[in-house]
Amino acid sequence: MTLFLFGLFVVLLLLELPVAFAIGVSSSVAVLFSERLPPTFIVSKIFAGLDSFPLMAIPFYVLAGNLMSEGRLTEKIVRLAIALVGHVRGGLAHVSIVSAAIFSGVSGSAAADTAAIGSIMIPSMKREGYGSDFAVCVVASACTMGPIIPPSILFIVYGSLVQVSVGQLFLAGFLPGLVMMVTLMAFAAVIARRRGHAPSHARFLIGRAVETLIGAGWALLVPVIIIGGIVGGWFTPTEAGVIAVVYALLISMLVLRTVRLAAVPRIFVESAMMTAIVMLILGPATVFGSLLIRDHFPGKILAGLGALTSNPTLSVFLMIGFVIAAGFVIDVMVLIIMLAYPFAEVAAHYGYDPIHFGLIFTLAATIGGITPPVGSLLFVACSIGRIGLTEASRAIWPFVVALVLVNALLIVFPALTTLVPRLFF
Amino acid sequence: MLGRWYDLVVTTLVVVAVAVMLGAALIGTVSRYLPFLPSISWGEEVTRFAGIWSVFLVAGLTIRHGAHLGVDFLTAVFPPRVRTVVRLFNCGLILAFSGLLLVYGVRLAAENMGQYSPALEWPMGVVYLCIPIGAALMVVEGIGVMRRLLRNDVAPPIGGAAE
Repeated sequence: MTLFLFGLFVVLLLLELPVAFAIGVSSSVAVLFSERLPPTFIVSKIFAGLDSFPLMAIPFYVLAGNLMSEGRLTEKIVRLAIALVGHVRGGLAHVSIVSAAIFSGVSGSAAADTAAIGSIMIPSMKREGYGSDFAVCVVASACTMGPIIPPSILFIVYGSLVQVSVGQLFLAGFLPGLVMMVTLMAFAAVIARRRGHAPSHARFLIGRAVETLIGAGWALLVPVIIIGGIVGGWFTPTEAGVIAVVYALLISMLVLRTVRLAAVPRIFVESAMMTAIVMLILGPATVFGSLLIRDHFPGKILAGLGALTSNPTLSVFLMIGFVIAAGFVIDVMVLIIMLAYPFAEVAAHYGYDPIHFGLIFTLAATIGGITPPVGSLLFVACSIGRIGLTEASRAIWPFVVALVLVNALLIVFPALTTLVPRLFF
Repeated sequence: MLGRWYDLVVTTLVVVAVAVMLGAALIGTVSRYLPFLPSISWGEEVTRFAGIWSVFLVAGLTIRHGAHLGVDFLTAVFPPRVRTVVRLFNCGLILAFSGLLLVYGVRLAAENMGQYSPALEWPMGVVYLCIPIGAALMVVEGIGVMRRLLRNDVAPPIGGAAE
C-alpha cells in the first residue's frame, strides 16, 4: 500500500499534476480499491483534516502579512536594516538578510517574505552592481528564516500534524533564526568580498538608526504583540493571528493610510487563495496520511533505519539528510505534510524532544525551498530578479551549505531550540 | 467565459466567508477580556466553519489562476504538443477528483443532516455542503482551463508559491 501510494503520487507529480491533486488522486484510488473503506471516507477525512482551530491561524497570518506589505511596512523595515548594517562590506546583502529576519517576525509565510523583501532588495542590489544571481540567492536563502522565526505557518502545520504546541515551536524558533541570520551574513560577507562589493554607506550613525527604528515602529510592534500575547498566556497562536490582522488593518488603513478600503476585498480574496493552496494540499494529505498509518508506515521507517544503524543521533541525521535530499525535487510544504508525522513518531521512539525535532525537521524541509530544481522561494526570487533557474542554481550552493551547517548544529545542540521555550513554559 | 456575475458572486462569497471567520475569531478572543461583553461559546466553531468554507469557495479560482504548487522540471523537456496532451490529461484527473468530491460530498452531507455541531447546533450536513460546492466550482474552472488548452495550445501557468 505504502509503495503504491508513494509510487502513484510521484508519477503524477512528475507529470506536472499539482501536488494537491497528486495526493488526492493517489489516495482516492487507494480508498476506492480498498474493500474496507467507504468512499465517503475521502470526503470526511478531508473535512476532519481542516476542521481545527489551530490551523485557522494560517489564513490570519497570511492576511496580516499581505496587509503589511500592501501597507508598505516592508519599506520601513528595509530602511531600518540599511541604517543598522549598510556600512558593512557587501552592505545590501546584509540589509536583505536583516530585513528578512525582521519581516519574518511580522509575517508567517516565507513565500510572502520573499515577494515582499525581494521586490525591494533585488532591484536595488542590481542597481548597485551586485550580480543578479547573487541578489536573488541572498534574498531566497534569507527568507528561509521566515518559517523558523515566529510566527510561522509551517510550525502551525507541523504542530497540528504532530500534536505539539504551536506556541512552544514559535518560541523555539528564536535562537535558531538568529544563528541562521549570523551564518548567512558570514557566508554573504565572504562572497561579497570575493566579488568586490563595497558597503552601501560609509559608517554607522546612531541618529539614523534611531530615526529609522521609530519609522519602523508600527511594524516592529507586530512581533511584540504576537509573541508577547502568546508568552503571556493571553492568546493562542490563532488568536494572536486575529489580533495581528486587526492591528495591520488599523495601522495600514487609519494610521499610515496606505491601504484603501476598496483594496480590502481584493486582499481578502488573494489571501484566501494563498491559504486555500495550503489547505487543499492539507485536506487530501489527511487521507493519504491515514492510509500510511493504517499500513504502519512509521514502523517500516524504524525497521529500515534499524537495519542501517542503532545510533539514535545517526538515525536522525539520516532522516534529516533524507528530507534535505527530497527537498531538491519536493517543495517545503509538501515535505512537511507528507513526512512530519511518520518522522516525528520515529524521532520520538529514539527519545528526541518533540520541539527539538520539530525545529530540525522544519529547517531541513525549508532548505527544500531554495534547492533547485524545485524550490518555491528560489522560484519567487528568480522571477523578481528576472533570471533563469540555471543561473541561480550556481550561486545558491554556498547558502545551501550554510543552512545545512546550521541544521547539523541544531541536531547536535538541542539547547539552541529548547532553551527559550523552557524559559516560558 | 463565465460571465461577470459568476465572478462577482464567487468573490463576494469568499470575502464574506473571510470576514465572518475574522469577525467570529475576534469576538471570541476579545469577549474573554471585556467583561461587559457576553462570553460566547461559538467563536471557535464559526471560525473553523467559515475558514473551511472560504477554502472551498476560493478553490475554483486557484485552478483558474494556476496557483497550485506543481513540478515542471520533467515536463519542461517534453515537446510542446506532448506537454499539452499531458496537461489535458491532468485536467481530466482534476475533473475526476473534483467529481468524486462532488458526488461523495453530497452523500456525506445527506448522511449527516441529523448530526448537529456542538456549539451552534447546526446540522453538520449543511456545513459539509462546502465540499460539493467547492468541487462544483473546481469542475467549472477545470473545464475552463481545458478549453483554454484546446483553443490556443498555450498551457496556463502552473506552480505558484504558497507556503
